[in-house]
Amino acid sequence: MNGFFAFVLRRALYGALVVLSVTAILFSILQMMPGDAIELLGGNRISKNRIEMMRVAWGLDKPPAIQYLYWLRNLATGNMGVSIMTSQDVAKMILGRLPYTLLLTFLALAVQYLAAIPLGLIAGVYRDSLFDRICVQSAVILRAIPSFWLGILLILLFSVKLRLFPVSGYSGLQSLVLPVLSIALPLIADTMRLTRSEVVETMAEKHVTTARAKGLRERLILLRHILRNSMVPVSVMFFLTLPWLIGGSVVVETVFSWPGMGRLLWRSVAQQDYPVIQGIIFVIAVLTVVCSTVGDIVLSLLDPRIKGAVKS
Amino acid sequence: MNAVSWDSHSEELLRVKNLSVRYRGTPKDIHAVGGISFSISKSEVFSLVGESGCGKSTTAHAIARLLDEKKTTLGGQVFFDGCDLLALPWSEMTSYRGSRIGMIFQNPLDSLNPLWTAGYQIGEAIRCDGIDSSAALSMTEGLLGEVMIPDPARRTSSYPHELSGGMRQRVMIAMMISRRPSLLIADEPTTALDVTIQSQILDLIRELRRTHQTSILLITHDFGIVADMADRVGVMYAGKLMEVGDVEAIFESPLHPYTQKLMKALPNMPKGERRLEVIQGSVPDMSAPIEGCAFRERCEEAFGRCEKWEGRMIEMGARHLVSCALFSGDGEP
Repeated sequence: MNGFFAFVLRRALYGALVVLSVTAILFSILQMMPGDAIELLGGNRISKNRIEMMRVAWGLDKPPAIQYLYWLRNLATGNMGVSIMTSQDVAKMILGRLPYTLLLTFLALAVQYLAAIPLGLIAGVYRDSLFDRICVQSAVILRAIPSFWLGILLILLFSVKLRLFPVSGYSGLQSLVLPVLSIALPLIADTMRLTRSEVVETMAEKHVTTARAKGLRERLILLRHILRNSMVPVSVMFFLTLPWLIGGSVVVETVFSWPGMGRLLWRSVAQQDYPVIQGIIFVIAVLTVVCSTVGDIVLSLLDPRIKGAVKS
Repeated sequence: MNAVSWDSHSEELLRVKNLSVRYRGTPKDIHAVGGISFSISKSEVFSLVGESGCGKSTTAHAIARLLDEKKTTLGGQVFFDGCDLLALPWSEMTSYRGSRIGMIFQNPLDSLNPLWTAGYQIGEAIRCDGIDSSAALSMTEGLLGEVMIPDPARRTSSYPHELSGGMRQRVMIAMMISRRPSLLIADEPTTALDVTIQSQILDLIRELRRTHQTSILLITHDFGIVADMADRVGVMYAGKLMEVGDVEAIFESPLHPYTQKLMKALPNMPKGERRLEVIQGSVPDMSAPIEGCAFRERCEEAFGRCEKWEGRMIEMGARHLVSCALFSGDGEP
């Protein structure tokens, strides 16, 4: 188990470096943007003098590097700052939104994989069958549809025309259906195609012939040898796309006015609300690092050839 | 299997009758095996020998019906224990594989699943017979001991990539003899191994045959292995069987011009000869059924009849068969 803790410690250190770089880069980019929140807040209605005073009050007159260090120092004490626009505590704002984003993301993930893996398996096993061809063709079409556009189509059809689901916001579980579908459908296409091609490839491998030669029934060959082996690359993709999915729900959250972190980010960028942007990006960076570490641990459990993480 | 019908030494276990295999492909099919017949007796080692692409490995896979039947067309019959395997529904074939026909493959790394331990993969075979996991585990350890893997208890939990090539092949053998099949098909079992490991594996196979009276179909391109292991030999060329006979007959008095040429091309040359002989020309195109004798274009003794040679086997003595127009008795050159 020692090796395991060393691994986690090493990854935590690397992770801290990654998070530090991401926030530093973001900070520099935000500094380069023309204008700031104070100008947006005040517009032309207040005097230059007053704007300068507010800048001093928010610490925006200090050099960027000093501002960044202040931010880091506050972060170390658990203080992520205050929104310039609403004067709310950033940590509280994010914590209030995070559950909605996680709910949406993980439900979409569940739908994505629960649909894609069986479809990909069947399509791969019955390669070139009608079912397979329908799957592959619809995957191409689904993949070409952007999430936000799909979201709008779904709203028009199911909410406006058929009145089955709410148009936007969060008002119970039925609100989840359309946003989850808009995120999951294009991704089902990707995962299904990956699963299918892995299944096709694994079926041609010699160890499958061995399994057959020793007298194993086809169903067991399919589960223990073909599906099991195909799941390794699918899991790699799962952990690679997970952070992207958490961050990537920004657009869908905006389309559906979902009260999640993504929409908060969208709004904060539009308003140049630096502390909130910094806070959200920090959370996404931490999630990314955690996902990739967990991913490596899970993969080394799935494939003994992957050196590593978990050594007993 | 009932004991009464298997008491005689020369009792036939496998009879391959006019077996043909065609790989369906675009644009052309490949006629990999063009109607071959042979039989294997109980506890006999029969070796199919021939150069790369002659169809020997295809024959081995076709017998156990391990070819992708969506992409191949099989013809002829394969009688195992009196039952035509090629006529069986696919699902019933499962009850023959592993339990009555075992198979060892060429590359022991590709042939084991990298994600399961050696013990699990052997146990999986044993559990096909409804044996519970703990009994299967102790049987697995026993089998690993039988194939002479040191420290079997530890090796059951090794993954294939943690084992050497020779050990992997031993695991493969343990897996394939675990259900005590009466026929073991060994498809180039030592080709991917180095020479010292090769002889150890061959010793092991010989030992298994001695202790369990297993019949063995040995596929190889190596005449050294044939001389070492086989009781009888079938020489294949371009999907056809050219000559079948006892190993002594094939080595000492080969009849078919192809076999004779092969023997002269072996590197253990007699005194006085300084160059290895080569067979001129190259193998025929197998994307169409071969008319006449497959070897005739490279054969120095070819004559008119060879073009219409139908490939039947002519009996030239005790258990010595040859497929050559020279011995057909009429139309001498």
